[in-house]
Amino acid sequence: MFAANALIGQGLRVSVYEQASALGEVGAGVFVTPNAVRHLERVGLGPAVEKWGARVGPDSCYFRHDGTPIAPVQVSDASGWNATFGMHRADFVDFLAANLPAGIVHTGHRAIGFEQNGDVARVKFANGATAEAEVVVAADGIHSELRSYVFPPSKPVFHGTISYRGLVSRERLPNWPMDRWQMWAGPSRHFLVFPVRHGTMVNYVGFVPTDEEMKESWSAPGIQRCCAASSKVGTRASGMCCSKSTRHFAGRSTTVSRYRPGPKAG
Amino acid sequence: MALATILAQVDTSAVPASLLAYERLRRERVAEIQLGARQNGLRLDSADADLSVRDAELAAHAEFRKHLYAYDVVPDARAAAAALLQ
Repeated sequence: MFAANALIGQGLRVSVYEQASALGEVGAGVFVTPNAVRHLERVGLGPAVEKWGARVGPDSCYFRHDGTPIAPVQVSDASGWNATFGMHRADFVDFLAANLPAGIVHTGHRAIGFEQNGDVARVKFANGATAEAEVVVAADGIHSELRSYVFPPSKPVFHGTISYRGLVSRERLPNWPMDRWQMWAGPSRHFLVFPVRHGTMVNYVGFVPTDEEMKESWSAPGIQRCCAASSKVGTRASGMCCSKSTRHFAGRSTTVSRYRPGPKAG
Repeated sequence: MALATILAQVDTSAVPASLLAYERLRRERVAEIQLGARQNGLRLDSADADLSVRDAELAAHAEFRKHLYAYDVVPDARAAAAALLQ
């Protein structure tokens, strides 16, 4: 979605095909740092970052699981620019989409195939539609269908960690400091908390080791028993409703995207 | 941003060369950042009985973050596109 903004900003014609039937409230917090904010500002989204983000400042810190401070977290670039924000993933997707001209995003299009014939690259979708372009950017997720047209097959290797994510409204945690990113790191597990949605919600993530491999997802339902286990580090997640996502290592040591060379001018 | 910057400066006949230039420009940096993220994850989930080594690495991680935050791909992307036009 950012690439679409950047390409349109440079005067190129773009269409975005999204497999979901609608752009919805999926996921929890993402952390956006100066190297990304620099480019968001270039496509005119500086005000949206300020509006929807929750800036985290110099009180951001790593702690031991018992609360002993370990070290501050770097939240500014070398010039002192503190463009470091917690962001709700849904807000991020919303304002990236809202910045595009009408008619660019086509939902309900799940890519299932790719072919290149002379000057035309063509993507096929599960709904029967096809799209033709000079350049195709495959950003179809961790379970990408299009990746196989560029890379040889590889099976993800389970990292051994599962994360439980959730959001709590600020009203339920009135004394929680909303100006900082905080992490409690114990042996083999850690617990992360930072504000999102302009400081109206607290985002938390508990990372715990597990033998149980599950499908990577932003929206798979969590298990209360495991949530309670994750609270060993942070002590505050117990009883909160969670969703889970597993972390995988890609099967290769580097996964920079390789784009199939596009066709010549038609 | 790098892809848009490069594609904006070339005409459509140069698209294949542009994508290869993009790959050359991004591969090393992306691999470095991905490796750093993986090392960070392993560090945070350290199972060592003595966590002092991990804690020292967390303190030193500020340097990685400064390096991460400082990079601006646009000047490099412009240079890569300009090289294609020569």
